[in-house]
Amino acid sequence: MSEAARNFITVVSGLPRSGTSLMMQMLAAGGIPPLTDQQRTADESNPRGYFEFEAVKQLRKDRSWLAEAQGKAVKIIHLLLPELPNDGAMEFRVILMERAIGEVLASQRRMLARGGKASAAIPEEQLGKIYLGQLQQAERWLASLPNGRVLKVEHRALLADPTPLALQLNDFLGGDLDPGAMAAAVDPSLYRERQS
Amino acid sequence: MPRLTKRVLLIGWDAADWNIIRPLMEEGKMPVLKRLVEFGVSGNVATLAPVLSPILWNSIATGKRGYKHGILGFVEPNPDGKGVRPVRSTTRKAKALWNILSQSGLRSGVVNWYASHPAEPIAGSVFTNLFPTMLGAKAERIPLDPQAVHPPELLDLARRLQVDPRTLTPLQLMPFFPNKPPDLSSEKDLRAAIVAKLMAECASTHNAATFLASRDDWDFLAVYYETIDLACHNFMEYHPPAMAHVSANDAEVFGEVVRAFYEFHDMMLGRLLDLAGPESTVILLSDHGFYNDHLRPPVAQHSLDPKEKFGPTMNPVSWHRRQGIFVAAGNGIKRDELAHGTSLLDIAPTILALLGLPVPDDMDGRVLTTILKDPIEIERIDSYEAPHPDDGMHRGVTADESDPYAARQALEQLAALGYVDLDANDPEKEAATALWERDSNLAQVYFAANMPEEALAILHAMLAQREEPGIKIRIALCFLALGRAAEADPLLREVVEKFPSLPGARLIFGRALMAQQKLDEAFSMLEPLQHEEANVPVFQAALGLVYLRRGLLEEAETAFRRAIELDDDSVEAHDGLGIALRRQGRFEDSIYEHMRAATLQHLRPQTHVNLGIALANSRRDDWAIRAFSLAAEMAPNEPLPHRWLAMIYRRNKKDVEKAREHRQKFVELARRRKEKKEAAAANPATPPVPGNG
Repeated sequence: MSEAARNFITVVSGLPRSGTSLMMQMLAAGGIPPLTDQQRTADESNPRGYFEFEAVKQLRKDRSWLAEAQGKAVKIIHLLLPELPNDGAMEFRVILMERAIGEVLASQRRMLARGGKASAAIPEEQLGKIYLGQLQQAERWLASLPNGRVLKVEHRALLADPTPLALQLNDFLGGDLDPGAMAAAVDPSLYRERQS
Repeated sequence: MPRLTKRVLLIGWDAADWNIIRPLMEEGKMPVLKRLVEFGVSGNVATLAPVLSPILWNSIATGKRGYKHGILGFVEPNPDGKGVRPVRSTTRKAKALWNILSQSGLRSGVVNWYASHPAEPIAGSVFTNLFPTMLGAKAERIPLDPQAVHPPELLDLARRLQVDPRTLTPLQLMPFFPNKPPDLSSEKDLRAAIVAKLMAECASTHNAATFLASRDDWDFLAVYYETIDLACHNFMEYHPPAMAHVSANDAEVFGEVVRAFYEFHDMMLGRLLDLAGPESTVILLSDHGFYNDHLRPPVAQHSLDPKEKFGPTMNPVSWHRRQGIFVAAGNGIKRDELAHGTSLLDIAPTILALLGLPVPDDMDGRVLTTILKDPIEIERIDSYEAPHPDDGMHRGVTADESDPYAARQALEQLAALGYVDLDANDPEKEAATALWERDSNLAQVYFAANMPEEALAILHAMLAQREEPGIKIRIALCFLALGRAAEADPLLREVVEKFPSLPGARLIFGRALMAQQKLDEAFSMLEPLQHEEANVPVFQAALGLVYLRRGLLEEAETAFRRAIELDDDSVEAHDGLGIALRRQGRFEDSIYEHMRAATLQHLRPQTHVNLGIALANSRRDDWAIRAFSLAAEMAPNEPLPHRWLAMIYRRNKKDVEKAREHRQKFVELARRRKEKKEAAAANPATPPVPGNG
């Protein structure tokens, strides 16, 4: 299926540092081009790049760029998912990354530290509960999306054995992707902040 | 503990003030309150800083200061960061009276209490603070939120109890305009519509209150009327004598609105007392007063828009007087007596004692034993705060629902990670403003609670975000409270140099100079203010302090008396006058002034120290010991009360053991203070910000 024939928008979502960039790489390898402007370039936190699109942050005020996302994959943080139009005019297939909250928090902490920024001035346990609450709200909203489908992908499972999930993704996204290339795009050496 | 009464009715009249009430009682226009006063005890109640009603009414309901109960402003950020919402019951961290009673097997009714929305599932009924409002700012109809009522079965009835302002007729509003009716034809002049809205919301509150009061199934009923405060903010400028900017026509039309609302409240009070019945105890209070005289703040320009009327620097809170009203009557209460030294924090512990429940040590107020007819043995427990299945506190809410400030922190982390943009949208600026104000209020709460180190940490964090002179002044005040005037000096010097027209900065700089024994410089800073700010009590009182330090006792007495003439409620002036009189050997007069200061504000340790010194000088040792002991209890890190106690026990009471105990305490506290000062002077680094918990 070509980009032109793919009449839905692939949304990669989840908490920051839950594997969203990794998923974008997989999809790019598998044949879904990312919608990105390359404003945030690769760094130590994401050696292979972020695959982000700056206009996503303005989703609340400006949705005009969504037309450009048709047939492509775009990364949208979980908090902004409810800003997507839910009138049924567009179809979304949402890949929701899941990762152990402790690993997410540790990864965010390290990323902030690398950037010389302070973490939130609340205990991490409380921050984790807030994030999980936000995720639950996002999932409730997704359940109400008239023209949407959701596939949850667990980060640890993906890194442990990407092949079955690559097949599942291929099925979810129309069946014309290259699962082998997608699986090959996963580099387990980039799995940091692993918690047992 | 024996129960002293069948039930307690707690009525809040926001901003009610004796200065309006007394003349009305004398004119026979508030006969119900007059009878209640004669039947029970009455007096002033000292407010708490900051003087913001959501904080104060929750301090009344919990017996705790704002840093413990967590309600720190009118609004809080929405958990999703988009805009703000009225502060909610889910944000309150401490149990209110109705939670404590609920877990203790007693039933409560709660009507319109600040931050009571969403309704808590207590044993009893709740109509939240969202219940009375039927119309929004643009006169749009607001449907009643189902969460505004508990239990849910009362929802339909609640809708019928609401009064729609649009249904009020001109005839029904005429009592508010007895001299001349307003022009109702003007679309721009909304003042009559404001009266209608206030009247309707007040009536809605009263409907719910009388409905609950008429049911014989409650042990405690708490009803809050916001109307007097709103009426005063909108119409006090017209109250006679009308302020200079008010036209003769407006004075005639709107001059009686405030008094009319008071009279209406008296009528409502009568009905509630009838329903509560003779076996109840009633407590009626306000959270602060409201200036109605020469101390009304100046108005920038006549306008219906508060921002234009008061100008960018004026704050509606500057209309709030520090003394509110307090009346208690009924079972267990003395008759026809004055109540002294009441604080808003004393209400909750007193109500617990009336209902025969233990009083927890973690409440910041005390049981008002002096108003009780008979002595009681107070049973104490540590705290009621442990979760209890019957306390009715909201449980199972999401973390961001229960703490919107933490939710905001989470949002800011996402922004720091680069995933959301906080600058783009006005709703997020609103949320950021709410956070800023919350921090500012929390710092004030800590400062007022004699916790300047905690206040300092917050203020330093705020200064790092915004270099504002007001924050620097507040940091300087913290340093002064900690005895670190030398660190306050450079901050204040900078503010005064950059903003020479800020009299408040010069006043505080003068205090810092005095604390550093730079009396000549302090005098030259403050002396010009005597004339520039001749009608501002706080400046006269500050000047009095400078004269005191220079040993100019007669000049000090004159300055303090001038401050008292301008504002008889000035605690600082009465206390300062007491010192000036004592140093002139006029001990009886000195004791009177210190006691007056303590009556105005009980929770002020230095007043009790000064009173203790005056009492010791006049050889009233037992009373002096009580005063110093009280001061030591209020300010446990302060060495001075212990020094005096050691002296009195040694010299006069010949109690060597107690004298030694206090001497040791004095030495220990003085040493600790000195070490802290030296450590701070050696390393004046910005202290870390305390957690938000």
